[in-house]
Amino acid sequence: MFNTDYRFKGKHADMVRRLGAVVSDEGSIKIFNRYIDIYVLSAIIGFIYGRKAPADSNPDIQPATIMLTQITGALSDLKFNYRLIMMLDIKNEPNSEKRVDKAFKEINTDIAKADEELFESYSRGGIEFLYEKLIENSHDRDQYIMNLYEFVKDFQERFNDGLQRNEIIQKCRGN
Amino acid sequence: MLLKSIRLENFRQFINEEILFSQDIEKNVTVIIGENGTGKTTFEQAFFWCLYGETDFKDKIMLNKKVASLLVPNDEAEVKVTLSLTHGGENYTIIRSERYKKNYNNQVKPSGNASLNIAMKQRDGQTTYIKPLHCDGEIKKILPKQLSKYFFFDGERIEKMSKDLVGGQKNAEFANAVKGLLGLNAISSAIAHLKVGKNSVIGTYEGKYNSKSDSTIGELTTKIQKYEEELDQAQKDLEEADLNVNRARSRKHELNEKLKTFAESEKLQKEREKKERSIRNSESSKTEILKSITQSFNESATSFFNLSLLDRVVDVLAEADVIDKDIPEMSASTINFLLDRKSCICGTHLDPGTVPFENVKKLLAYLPPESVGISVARYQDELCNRLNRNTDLVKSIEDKLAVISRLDDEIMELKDDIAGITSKLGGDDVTDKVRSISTEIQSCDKAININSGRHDQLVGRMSILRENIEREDTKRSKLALLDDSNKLIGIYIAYAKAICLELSKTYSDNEAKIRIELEETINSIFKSIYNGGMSLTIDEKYNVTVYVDDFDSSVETSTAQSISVIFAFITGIIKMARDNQKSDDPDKQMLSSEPYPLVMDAPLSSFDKKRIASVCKALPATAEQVIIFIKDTDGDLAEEYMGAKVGKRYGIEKIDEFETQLFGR
Repeated sequence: MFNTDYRFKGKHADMVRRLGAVVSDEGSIKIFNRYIDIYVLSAIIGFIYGRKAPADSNPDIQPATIMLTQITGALSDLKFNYRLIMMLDIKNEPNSEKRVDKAFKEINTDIAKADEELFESYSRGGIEFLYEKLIENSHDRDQYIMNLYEFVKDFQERFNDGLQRNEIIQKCRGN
Repeated sequence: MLLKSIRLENFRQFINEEILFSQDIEKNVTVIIGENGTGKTTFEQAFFWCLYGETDFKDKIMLNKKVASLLVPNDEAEVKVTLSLTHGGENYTIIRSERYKKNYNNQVKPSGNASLNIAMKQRDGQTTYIKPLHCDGEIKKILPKQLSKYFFFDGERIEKMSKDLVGGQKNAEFANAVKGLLGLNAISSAIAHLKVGKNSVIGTYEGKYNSKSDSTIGELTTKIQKYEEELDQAQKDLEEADLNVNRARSRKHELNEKLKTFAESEKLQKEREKKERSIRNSESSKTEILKSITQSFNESATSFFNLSLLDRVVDVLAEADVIDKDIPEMSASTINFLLDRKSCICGTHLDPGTVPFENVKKLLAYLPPESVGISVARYQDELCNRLNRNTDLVKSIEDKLAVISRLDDEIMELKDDIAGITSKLGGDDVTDKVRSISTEIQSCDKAININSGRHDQLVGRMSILRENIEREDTKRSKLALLDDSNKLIGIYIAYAKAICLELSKTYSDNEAKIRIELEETINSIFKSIYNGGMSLTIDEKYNVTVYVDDFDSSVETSTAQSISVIFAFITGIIKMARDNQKSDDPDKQMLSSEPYPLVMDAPLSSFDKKRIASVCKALPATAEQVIIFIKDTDGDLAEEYMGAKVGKRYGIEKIDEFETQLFGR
């Protein structure tokens, strides 16, 4: 995993292109700077919102490619996120010790094929979710920004409310 | 003078046509309808030809072409215009006729001179014929030529004359006409008779000085006359220079007023440009801020969206109860090596299946890759590092959106302001207009300077001339007194001068009175037509200045306004002439003159729609007889607004190229 060019196919390729497109000519404003940024974030989004999606095989749509050099540049983030999901996905593996093994022992081995597919599935689901929230209902620059803000605000209220970074650090160091 | 009828025989396109003018006091309007080119102008020219024997036509052969073509060589035909009118209580029939003969080259030429015949039917029924030598004089009494143009207007001349009037040109001519019509001519003629020129009374007496043998007196008289001529010319030049100064001044005033309104516009325009720049600045600030929002998002995305997961994973890692009892500096490959060589570091044999072998093998569980302890520790470190990247993404975006909202408000306000300014400006770039006005103002200033300089120069010269005249005259008088007969002449001259002085005083008193009355009369006519929107002033040099109160109109008077000015002017003169005749005041009667009809091309459609009604109402009231020529298309307008006052109606219709006829309607 994370050792080749990565290709989005079918409708996900279109969605990635839209997410990475310029929304305003003046100032060349983009929601996401690069496709790799979308990829890094997408699995997390898919996992948090519980969205999975199968690969789309529509041959008429041009795939969207991320070069290996970029994958390698973002490797630490990608691996970090993969481990995060492995350790927290109870539906995938209820036993906490086994989840930790998935994250640290089985990573990049043949056993991990199903888990890798799970990761990709979350990634595609995350892309669909991001597209729905940020792109589908936006038609001008101001709307894109407003939808971005709404999305971020909503996320904050649902998932981050009350969390204090220093408290979590202390918790972590304490162990 | 009131017109009864006119008959045209063989006069240009009219073979035998007659018009009877309305004599009714109430229905005093005669309307003649015809398109341009049907012969309206010819008809108006018929009056002139009858009265003065002149026309403006290029072709001096006035015989109708059809009639001319029917002539055989040596045959004659007659062109005749018969005008019937009343004047001073007498009925006149004025007939001018001219004979034409065809020669053997088939050319038609006048044979003999045109003849004029005036018959006067007196109250007792007796008819007398004016002697040929007195005919022109009689006509001059009825309507002097110089005045006639004010009572017969054709359309082209209306436009030209109104421009002259308002442009301030030819006012001397105009002044003379006024004075003539209103009776001042008699006095000014008397004054001229007494003192103007060599052949005047005073001039003649002064000339008689010359017949004395004292040649010095003769020389002095010549000198004095020369000075007087020069003085006269200087006076004329002075008047012209003053006229130019006045004109330039009033033009400059107009332009400065115009400039004021433009100055305001220029200011507004600059303000608008400033606001447009502000909008552009705010727009680009807005773009920068939006960009920075997306930048923040991209930078903070991972740490923001991971936060809750990091919180949970800490617990999972704690739960996993990893035994990190790693053996320092020991790796899995070391244990495998020991197991393969089957002996421990301490020397103990490690045979598969034995207890020592199993114990050593168990150690593998505590080393990577079997043991995840190191990895987990590394992961926990990385986790803490990520947590340290503290950003409050939501607040950062909210703050920036607030700034954008403020910018949006500013932009909206600026756009409203700009819309307000744009509607006020309503026009194009004023900078060019301002520039051209300023240039014109400069040339006005130049004209003022040049003419003022001339004025001063002339005044100086004139006072020198007057001194010279007085000095030479004194010399002459002294010499003259020495001679008895010259003494007598001196007395005659003194008497003549005294009479002149008396007449001049009377003249200027009355002239001022009449001029002011004329100005008031015209302005009251303007009031009834314009509700005070227009007024004029006449100064003692008869310069006419028109004031227009209506700010929507352009500063130059339009055709309609020019026509209105001249119309009001003429109706003013006619009104005053009528009022004077009716007055019992002996002073006024001295200056009284006959009432006159008004014969005009009435360009009704040139007047503003709102004026037509009041003009048509005023027309019949200002002259005892009104004869108007109008276009077919104005016919309905005339009927609508003046119908009740129309006593007779005629139409002019072109039969063919050579013949036009009149039809009663």
